[in-house]
Amino acid sequence: MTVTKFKLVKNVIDLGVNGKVAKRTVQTFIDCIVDSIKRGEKVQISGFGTFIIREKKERMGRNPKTGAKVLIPAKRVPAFRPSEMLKERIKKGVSANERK
Amino acid sequence: MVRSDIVKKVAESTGLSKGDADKVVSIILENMISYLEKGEKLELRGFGTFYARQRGARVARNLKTNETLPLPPRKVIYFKAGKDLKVLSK
Repeated sequence: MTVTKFKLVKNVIDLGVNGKVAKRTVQTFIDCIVDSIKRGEKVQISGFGTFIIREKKERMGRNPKTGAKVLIPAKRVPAFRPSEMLKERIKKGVSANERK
Repeated sequence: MVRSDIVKKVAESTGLSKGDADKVVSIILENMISYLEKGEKLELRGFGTFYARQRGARVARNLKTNETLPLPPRKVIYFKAGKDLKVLSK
C-alpha cells in the first residue's frame, strides 16, 4: 500500500514522540524543501538525496492532435537526485515476494 | 539549503532541542528509505511521490577495453514532483 504522510507521522508517534511534535516535524521538513525550491535554491539532504531545479530551454513542440507547431517556453522543473547510499540501498531492495 | 538548516527549522517549530530535532528527522528519513527499499510507494501529498522501478538486466560495455559486462536487474528510484513543488516562478 502507498505510504502517506500520515503513516510517517504515525510511525514516529509509535516510537514515543509526542503527536504534535511528530506532525510538525514531518510538515516542517516538507515545507522547508518546498520553500527552498521555490526560492530557486537546491536542497541537499545527506544520506538521502538532493532536490534540484532543472532549467529547460524553450523548444518547438507539436500539438499531437492538430499537428500545429507550438513553442514550448523555457521553464524550471524540480527534480530529485538520490544519493549514492540511497541508490545502493534501493538497488538491493527487498522484492515484493520477500516481504512479510 | 542542507539538512542542518531543516533540523534548525524543525527545532523552531516544535520546540525540540536541535539534537532531538535531528534525531526525529533521522528517524523519518530512515523510515522513508526503508519503505522504498521494500518497494513501497511513498506519496507526500502536494510535495511529490517517490517510488522504485524495476529495471531489467542488460549488457553494458566498457568503452575503454571493449569488454562486455552483464548488468543485473536492479531497482532505481524515481521522484515525481507534486503540485506544490511544480509552481515555480520563472
